[in-house]
Amino acid sequence: MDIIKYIFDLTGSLICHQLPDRSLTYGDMVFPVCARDTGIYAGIFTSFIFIMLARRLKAQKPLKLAAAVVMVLLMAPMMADGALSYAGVMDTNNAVRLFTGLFFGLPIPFLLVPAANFDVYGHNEMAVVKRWYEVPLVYLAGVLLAVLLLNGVVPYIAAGFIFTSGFLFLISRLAYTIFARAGIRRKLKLYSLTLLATSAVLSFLYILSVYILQPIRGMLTT
Amino acid sequence: MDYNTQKQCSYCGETIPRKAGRCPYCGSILEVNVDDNFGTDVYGQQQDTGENTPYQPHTESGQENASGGQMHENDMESGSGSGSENTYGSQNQNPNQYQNKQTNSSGYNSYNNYNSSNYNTRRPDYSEDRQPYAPNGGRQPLSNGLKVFLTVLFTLVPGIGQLAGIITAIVFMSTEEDSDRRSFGVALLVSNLILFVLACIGCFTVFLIAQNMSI
Repeated sequence: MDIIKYIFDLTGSLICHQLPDRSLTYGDMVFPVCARDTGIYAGIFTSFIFIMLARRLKAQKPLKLAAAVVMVLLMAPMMADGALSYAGVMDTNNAVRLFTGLFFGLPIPFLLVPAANFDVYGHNEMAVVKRWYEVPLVYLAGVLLAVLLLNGVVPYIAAGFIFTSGFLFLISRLAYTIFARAGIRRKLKLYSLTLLATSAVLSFLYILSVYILQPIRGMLTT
Repeated sequence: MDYNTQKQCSYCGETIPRKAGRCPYCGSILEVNVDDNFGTDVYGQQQDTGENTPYQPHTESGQENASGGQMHENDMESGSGSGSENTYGSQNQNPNQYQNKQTNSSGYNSYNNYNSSNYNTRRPDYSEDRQPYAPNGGRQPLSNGLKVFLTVLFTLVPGIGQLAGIITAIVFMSTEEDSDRRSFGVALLVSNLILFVLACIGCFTVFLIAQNMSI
């Protein structure tokens, strides 16, 4: 258990300040990332699971414009909440952080998957969202997960797994998308480069965390 | 290389989709090959001698043939849209003009190399409502200035700029038969998603530092 907690905390330290008063808890255990990041990666995780279950990882067709506009506009509250609270204009709490973060994270896989597979010169048959009710369904699942996380129902290990999966999906899929758009078609080469780039990004984040983020966190907590 | 779906850019030599009107690697505007335009109509091995045997379309009106491809630039030079008289020989004052064009086009020569038995020079009729050849689905391609402007705008405005960029990218990606807008749209989408994630992480880190310094 200690090793698992150490891995989750180390992964969380790469991208999050991990301030206890801004983080959710399960019993007496503080989650590895803050409430906002928990929401973001829970959103990414939920959409990712949906895309996996629906077998749309190779979807080419982007979202319909109306759905894209709604989903992208729902990303804005997190920016407003973060900016206004850091600027001292308004107070916020963990529930707001969690839900605004969730709405930020939910659209990301729906945008990233077709971005990698989109065929500029051909017909894009497979849509990432095929029926109109799929989007509200995913959002409902995300909200349900967020409610469970907020009320401390989700165990620490499950929450850590959700965060770690969402985080790794985000980094690796961004790298995959860049290489796919660069015209690399051979799968072995594509996956190898994706793995290499993901490792490089994680290493870079570790250095950044050790020399910038953690010293700031230390100063804030003392 | 799969010659049914791919060809070689005559400027940079990269392998590109056969229907590409512009090379995605070097950006060169490519000539449209005859085999792209009329790939579904193979009329045997008869070579054009300038005697102008009228082309017999497979359909009554010839519309199917016309919609299957795009008009070659020679048609525009010699006046397109002149109806059923538009057989190859009657269009061109110099019957050798078309043949010379093929010889000078490196892209077409490569086609001859692999599929010379199906080579066909006879031109189909064009109906009167035939539109002149225009790449990108008849739309004007986006100017480089506009692309640079949009990219800079969406990049420099943190948060809101990326949101607008993602929506703009979806709009461009949803356009049909417009490879220019579609390729720009997907590039815009990828760049804005990366910038969005970086901006959020970066902004909150900067806010944290600022908050710490103000304590």
